[in-house]
Amino acid sequence: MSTFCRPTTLADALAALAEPGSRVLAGGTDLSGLIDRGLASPTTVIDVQDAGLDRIERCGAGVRIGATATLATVAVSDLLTRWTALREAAAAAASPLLRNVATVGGNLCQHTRCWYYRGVEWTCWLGGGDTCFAQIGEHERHGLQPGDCISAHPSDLAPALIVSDATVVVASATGIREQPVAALYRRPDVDDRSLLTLGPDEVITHVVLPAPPDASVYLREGQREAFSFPLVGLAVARFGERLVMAAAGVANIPHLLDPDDVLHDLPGNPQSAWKRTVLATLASRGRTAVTM
Amino acid sequence: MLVPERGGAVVPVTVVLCVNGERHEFEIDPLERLADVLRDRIGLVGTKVGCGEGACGACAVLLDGRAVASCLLAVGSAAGHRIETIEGLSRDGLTPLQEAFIAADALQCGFCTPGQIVAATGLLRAEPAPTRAAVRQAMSGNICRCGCYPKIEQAILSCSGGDG
Ligand SMILES: Cc1cc2nc3c(=O)[nH]c(=O)nc-3n(C[C@H](O)[C@H](O)[C@H](O)COP(=O)(O)OP(=O)(O)OC[C@H]3O[C@@H](n4cnc5c(N)ncnc54)[C@H](O)[C@@H]3O)c2cc1C
Ligand code: SF4
Ligand code: FES
Ligand code: FES
Repeated sequence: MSTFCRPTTLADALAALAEPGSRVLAGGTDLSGLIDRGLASPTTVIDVQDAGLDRIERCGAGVRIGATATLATVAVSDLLTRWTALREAAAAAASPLLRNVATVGGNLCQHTRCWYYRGVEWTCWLGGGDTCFAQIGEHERHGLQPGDCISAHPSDLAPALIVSDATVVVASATGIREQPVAALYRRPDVDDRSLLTLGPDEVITHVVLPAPPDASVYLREGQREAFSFPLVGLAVARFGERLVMAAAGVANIPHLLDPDDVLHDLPGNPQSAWKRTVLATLASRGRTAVTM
Repeated sequence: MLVPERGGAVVPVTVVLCVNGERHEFEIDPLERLADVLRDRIGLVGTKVGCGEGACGACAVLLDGRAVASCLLAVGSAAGHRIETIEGLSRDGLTPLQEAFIAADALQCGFCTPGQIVAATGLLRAEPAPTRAAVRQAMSGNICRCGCYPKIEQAILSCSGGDG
C-alpha cells in the first residue's frame, strides 16, 4: 500500500522524500498519467503544493522562481517581463486548464511523451526493454539524433531557461546544490535509462534567473497553434553580441545549438528528418527577432 | 482499452472537499481523481470525462476560481481549495453565459459544453471584457468534437462587452 502526504514545510517534504520509493507530486498533470499507466508506482506520493515553494521574487539582478509556481503565473508575471522567451514558452505550453496547475519544476521533470513509452502494450528500451519501437515503427514526431532512444524532449520551458543561463536549486535531506538547467538532463545509456540527473531523494526548490538577456524569443511549431507539444521549440537569447539557442523536440533531452550551424549533430531519423527544415527556419527567424 | 487499473492501492485518508460551497468528507484513496469523485461519489455528473488525460477540457472545474482539468487532479491535492462545478455555477438558474450559449446555438451534442462554460466563466471572472484573441487563447484547452468553435466564441464575446 502506498501513502500520500502534503507536507507544509520543505524540511518535512525532504524528510519524506528520503524514504525509498517516494515521489514528488506537484500539479500532477504528468505524474497522474504515469501512475495510471503503471509507469510510476511510488510508495509515497508527496504533494508539495503547501511547502512554500510557489513564490516568484527578485533576486539580485535576476529573479528566483519557486518550483511550484504555475506556468500560468510565470506567463504573466510582471517580474519576468524581460525574460520574453520564458514567458512565451510558459504561455505556449500545454493548455490554459493545464497551465493553471502545472508547475515549473514539474514541467522540467516531465517524462517523454513517446507514444511507445506511454503505451501500456509495450516496454520499450527507455522503459527497460530491449527495443526502441519508434525506430522500427512510427517516429515522425521524434528526435533528430540517432541512438538507443530517439524520443523528443517535451518541455517548452527547458530551452527557454537554458538560453537565459538559468540554474536550478536542488535540495535533499542531506544538502542543497545549484546547477545549470541543462545539467538536469542526461542522455540515457544501457545501465541507466533515466533522462534526469536528479537523485530519487532530490527536489527542485527554485529556478534562478541571472540578469536578463538583451533580447530573447521562443518560437515553436506544434501540430496545432495551441494545445500540442512542441514538434520543434526553439529559444533564442542575445547577450550583447553573444547568441544562445536551445531546442525542445529535436533530441531526447533539451539540445543546445551552435548558432552558426544549428543542424550540427542533428542528422535526423528517417521519418523525422523534416524537422531539420523547421529548426533551420525557426533559427533564422529567431536570430532576426533578437537582433532587430 | 488496455489501460490497467491504477497500480498499487493507496492507504485511504480522510479528505474534505468544498464543492459548490458544500462540505464533503470521504475516506478515500487520495490519488483518486477529482472528476471521478465529483461524478461517482457526489453525483455531480455535469462534469464530463472525455479523454481522462488532460487533452480535451470536458472535465473542467474551477479551483479557487481558475479552470483546471479535474481528470488529472488527485482528490488529495484538491482538498482545501474551493471547487466549483457546472452545477454550482447554475444553482440560481442559467447564467447569462449559459443563456448566450443557447442564443448562439453554441453546441450540438453538448458533451463538451459544461467544460466550455466552466472555462469561459474562469476567463470572464478574471477578465470581464476579453478580446477575441484572449477568448481564443483562454478556450484553447477545450476541444469540441462537433466543431462549434465559432459559435462558442460568439457566445462568450456576446457576454463580455469586449469589442473583439
Ligand atoms: C494534454 C497535455 C498537453 C501538454 N502539452 C505540453 C506542451 O505543449 N509543452 C510542455 O512543455 N508541456 C506540455 N505538457 C506537459 C505539462 O506541461 C506537464 O505535465 C506539467 O508541466 C508538469 O507539471 P506538474 O506540476 O503537473 O508536474 P507533476 O505531474 O506533478 O510532476 C511531473 C514530474 O516531475 C516531478 N516533479 C514535479 N515537481 C518536482 C520538483 N519540484 N522537483 C523534482 N521533481 C519534480 C514529479 O515527480 C514527476 O515525475 C502537456 C501535458 C498534457 C497532459
Ligand atoms: S524513442 Fe525512446 S521512449 Fe520511444 S520507443 Fe524508442 S526508446 Fe522508447
Ligand atoms: S477528461 Fe479531463 S481533459 Fe479530457
Ligand atoms: S457540442 Fe459536441 S463536443 Fe462540443
